Amino acid sequence: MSTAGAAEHHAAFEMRGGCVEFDGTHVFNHLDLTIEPGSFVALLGANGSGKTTLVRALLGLQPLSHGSIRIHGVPLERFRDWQRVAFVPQRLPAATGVPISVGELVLSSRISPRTRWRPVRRHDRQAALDALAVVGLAERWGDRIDTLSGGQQRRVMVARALAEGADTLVLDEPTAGVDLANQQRLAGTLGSLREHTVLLVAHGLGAMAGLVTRAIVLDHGRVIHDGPDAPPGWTDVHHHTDGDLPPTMLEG
Amino acid sequence: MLDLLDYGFMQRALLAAAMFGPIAPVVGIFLVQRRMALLGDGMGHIATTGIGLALLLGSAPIPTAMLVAAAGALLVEFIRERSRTAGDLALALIFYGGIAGGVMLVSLAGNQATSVLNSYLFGSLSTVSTTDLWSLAVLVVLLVAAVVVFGRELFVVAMDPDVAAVQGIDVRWMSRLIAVMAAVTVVVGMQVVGLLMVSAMMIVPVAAAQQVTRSFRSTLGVAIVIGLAAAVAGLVISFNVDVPPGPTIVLLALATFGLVAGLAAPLRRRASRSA
Repeated sequence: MSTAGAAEHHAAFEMRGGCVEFDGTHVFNHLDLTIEPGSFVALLGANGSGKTTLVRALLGLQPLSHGSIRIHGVPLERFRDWQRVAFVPQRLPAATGVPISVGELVLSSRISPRTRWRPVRRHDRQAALDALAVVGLAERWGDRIDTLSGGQQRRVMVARALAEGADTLVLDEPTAGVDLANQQRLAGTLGSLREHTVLLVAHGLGAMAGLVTRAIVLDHGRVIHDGPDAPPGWTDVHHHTDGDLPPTMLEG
Repeated sequence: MLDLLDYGFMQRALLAAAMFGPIAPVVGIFLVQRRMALLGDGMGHIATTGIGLALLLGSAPIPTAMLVAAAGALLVEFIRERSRTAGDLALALIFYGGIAGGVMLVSLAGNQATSVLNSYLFGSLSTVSTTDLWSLAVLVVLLVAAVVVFGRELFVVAMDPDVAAVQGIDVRWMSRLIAVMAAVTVVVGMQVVGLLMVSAMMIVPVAAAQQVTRSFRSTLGVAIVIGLAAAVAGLVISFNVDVPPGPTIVLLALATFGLVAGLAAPLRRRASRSA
């Protein structure tokens, strides 16, 4: 395993007896899951399998009705080291709201309660520029985020996570609706993060297939596969069936 | 043109307009980004109950309206936190309860009270007192301080609450803060454009600015200029043409939006051709 994995003894995420229910129906029940530091884990499943709810629970975005979660060894309720963890959503809800520049978006990852009483510093700006350079979009700093393609926006969001200085990245459907060239660039970026923990949720792996060190397949809230390789059929990019992608995300 | 400054009431009206015009879009931009553009409108409804209460109790309208609107803002956020699905409906109930309660309290307060309520519903810049100005100044300073200290966190929450939470930002408290800030802004604007139109000045300058800007920061800057210009120019026009200032200010802001949107469309087409 990676050096980060050797240095740290705690799991990046650890769920014990986790249970989430909506209106009396269990999304998952008594689920145990450990994500080792430095691993590249794909959480696969069809729509309604509970994979998105599971990662939201791991990040504290979805409260558990039973069970416990630790992040880097610290119980979720007491975890404060959030600059180690970055969430890369499938898309930005604000992409069609008030204009946001690429630079503002990446720089915003440096904002936290700790920065409340100080101005933006030169090293914040530098971290944002460096991260944008890693994903190959440094020249788009001043552009409106919604003038970029869906795949480019996804790369900016990954840059945002890197600029935060996070060592634990959680990505929601990083390849869905992204053309192959952008998928390969994303995979190249994520593949270069040797000491990071990466947890991604996907319908299919696409260009990420070669990077995955562990694949977990969820079906109706139960783990039906957990191993170093994805079972056959999960390595392709599955097409979205829920029709929730805006046309701008689908690139030709 | 400058003779309007000979009148004390015009000086006070100008100061009130110049305070409200720029601060309204500063708070409004976060509401637009969160897709809660109509929250200010609801806060205006709730503040009506505050006015009614002030008239009934004989207390000062601005502090009373502010306390009621802020309490209403916290109630609204409390409901939004609890209910996943019926949040919208609950908001509507509170908003209409606010305006119905206000009108009822005013009628209980007697006959003269109704004309006072009208002045807060539709604005009455000519009745701004020196005490009012001091109250407004304190509220505006508080709003500016809140934006300076918490503005960047509010920005991330408005952009994506989930991303903000995973960044360690307290989404719940920031949501309560922006709701209370909207309530305070409504109270600052109730004498300038009136409770029924106050939300327009929080939203329309932002909507106009974002036609031509590429970043949040520049949108904020342009919206502040539009808000200030519409408020001051609207007041000056209303003085010279003898029309009510509230609607004049709001119509000017809307005209600015129309103008900017009309000019921006061909500009954007040209930009996308050259890109």
